[in-house]
Amino acid sequence: MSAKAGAGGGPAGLAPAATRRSRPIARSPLLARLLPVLGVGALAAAPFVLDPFHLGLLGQFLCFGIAAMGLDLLWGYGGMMSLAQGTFFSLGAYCMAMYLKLAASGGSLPDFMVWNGVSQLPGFWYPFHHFAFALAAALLVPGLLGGFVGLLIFRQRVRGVYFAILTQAFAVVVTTLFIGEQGMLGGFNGLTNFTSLFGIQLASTRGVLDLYAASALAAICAYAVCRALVTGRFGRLLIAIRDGENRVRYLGYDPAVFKAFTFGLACALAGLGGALYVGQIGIISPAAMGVVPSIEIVVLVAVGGRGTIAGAIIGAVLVKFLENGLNSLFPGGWQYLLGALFILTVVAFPRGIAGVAADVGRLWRRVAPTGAAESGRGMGV
Amino acid sequence: MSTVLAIHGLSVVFDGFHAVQDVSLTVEQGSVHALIGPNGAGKTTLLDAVCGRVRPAAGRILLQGRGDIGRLPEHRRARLGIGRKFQTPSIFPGLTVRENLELAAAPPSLSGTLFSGLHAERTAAIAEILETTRLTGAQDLPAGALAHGQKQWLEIGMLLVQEPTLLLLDEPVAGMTAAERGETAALMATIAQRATVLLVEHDMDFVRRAAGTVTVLHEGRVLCEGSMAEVAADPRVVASYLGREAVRYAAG
Repeated sequence: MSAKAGAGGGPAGLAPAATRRSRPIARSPLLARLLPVLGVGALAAAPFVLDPFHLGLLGQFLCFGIAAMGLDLLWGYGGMMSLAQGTFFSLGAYCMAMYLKLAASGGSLPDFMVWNGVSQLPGFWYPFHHFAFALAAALLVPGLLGGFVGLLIFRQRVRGVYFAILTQAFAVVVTTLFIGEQGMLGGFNGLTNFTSLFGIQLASTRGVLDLYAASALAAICAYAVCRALVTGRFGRLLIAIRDGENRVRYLGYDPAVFKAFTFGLACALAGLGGALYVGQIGIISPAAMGVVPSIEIVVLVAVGGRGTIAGAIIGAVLVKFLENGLNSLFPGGWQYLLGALFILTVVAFPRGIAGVAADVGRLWRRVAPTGAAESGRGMGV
Repeated sequence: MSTVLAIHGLSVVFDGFHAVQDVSLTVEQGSVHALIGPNGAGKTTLLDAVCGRVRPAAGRILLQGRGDIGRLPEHRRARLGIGRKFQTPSIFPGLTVRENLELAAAPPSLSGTLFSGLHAERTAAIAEILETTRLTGAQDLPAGALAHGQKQWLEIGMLLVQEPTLLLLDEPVAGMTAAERGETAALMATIAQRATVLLVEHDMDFVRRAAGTVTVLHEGRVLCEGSMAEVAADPRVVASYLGREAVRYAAG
């Protein structure tokens, strides 16, 4: 151990710093090992600690966390910043909302259709009578759409800011499309007035607890999938594509396929988050699907720390609670504070919360007395 | 000797500028074939056309056993065994030396990247390449922390581990120290046993030591071809490019 530390301080001392930049948490064994355990523990303890109101909020924020982890995979590792993740989140939400709406309507036509003079349930609504179909659609519709759109974009070798602009245009197009579908999808008002899921009232304490548990479980699974991907060869290839797409291409890989797959996966995760979210919030409308909600997910990842996965979900939950608290103090002012937070992060803490935590951890190990440092290292091994 | 690469009547045009005009060239199996010529002669563009970076306006690029590859996308050509080394070292600075080589050695498909580990023989091949390129001691360092010459070797190693049939090297010793250049020339002898090499280089001393055949390009056309001693004796080459300095080199 001491020999290794000595080598690190020698002529090769430059080396660890360069690695840290791309994978801060992975190189800190103590954090890397304890963080998932602490996270799962905190999620498990939350129902016993928080009142139903705050538990419900946590459940909702975890849904944004799932979408944020997907974006971190895409942006933090793959270098592709999407400004449409809110749109894919909402697509997942609409899929689940259609099931909830049909369930709430009993055997009759959903209320907004009646108001709009639609006399018969449109054909594409029929399969949404089944929960399993709705859940699968919430993952597959955003996932396949994202993968397909991604393939078209990446085959044309559109990259960087041009990719971001295209995704933003996509968000506007889809939002406009949904606003226009008054009779089919509720138009500007969206879908609302849900009642129950599997016979449990959504707004009841039991409903809140169940939806929280589902969100927490989904967040844990999404985290596990993302971590497995980024710690394997796939994650290293994503970094390689980000840092040298041409080199990757001339090694025989088709970068467009890998980028489209990653985009599709990020969109599927966003859809999963949306599907879990809609039951908890009770409404989905085009207001949640445009550019602003999409940028908000980008901010969650940036504040949490890009390229760490854990940072994305931690950032999402913390920023969302902050938003909630500040929103009640300064109604309407939150958008400005969100913008200020984003600028502060980019200028002062480009590696986000995860980066700051890694720096603090390293500083602690350096200044802490030998005993503390030893025990810290022991836990890491 | 069989021909690995045969280029017939190749032309590359950039916005009306003829970078390469009606170039025909054959590269024999197991040879180290150098392209030399003044700046703007079309040397790098010729390599770009072979690996797919630029689209030819006319002509055919025949790869042994594969026919015309002029329309294939870059990654398909790489899978056919054409390895390209760029002029500035092009590696993945955030990954370790070993991780760089692993990405080169692994199957380049999505499913392979997601689900399959590296075969033992691939791992053995990586270990061998680390030895060949003298990077065994640096295998766990981030590639970005390597010295310039080591980065060049790492990039060559990434290509070698793919067991290419044809290696395209663009100025492999550019920016290297004299000692690194000597080592690279020695490395070239090892490489020549594994793959056919087509290289671009301005260092005439290196070309004389490493290359068997030399093709001189001038303003996008082939000026002459032969051994280094032969081309250096050609008065047109002396006039257009080499000058007296290189004649002295070639004479030994």
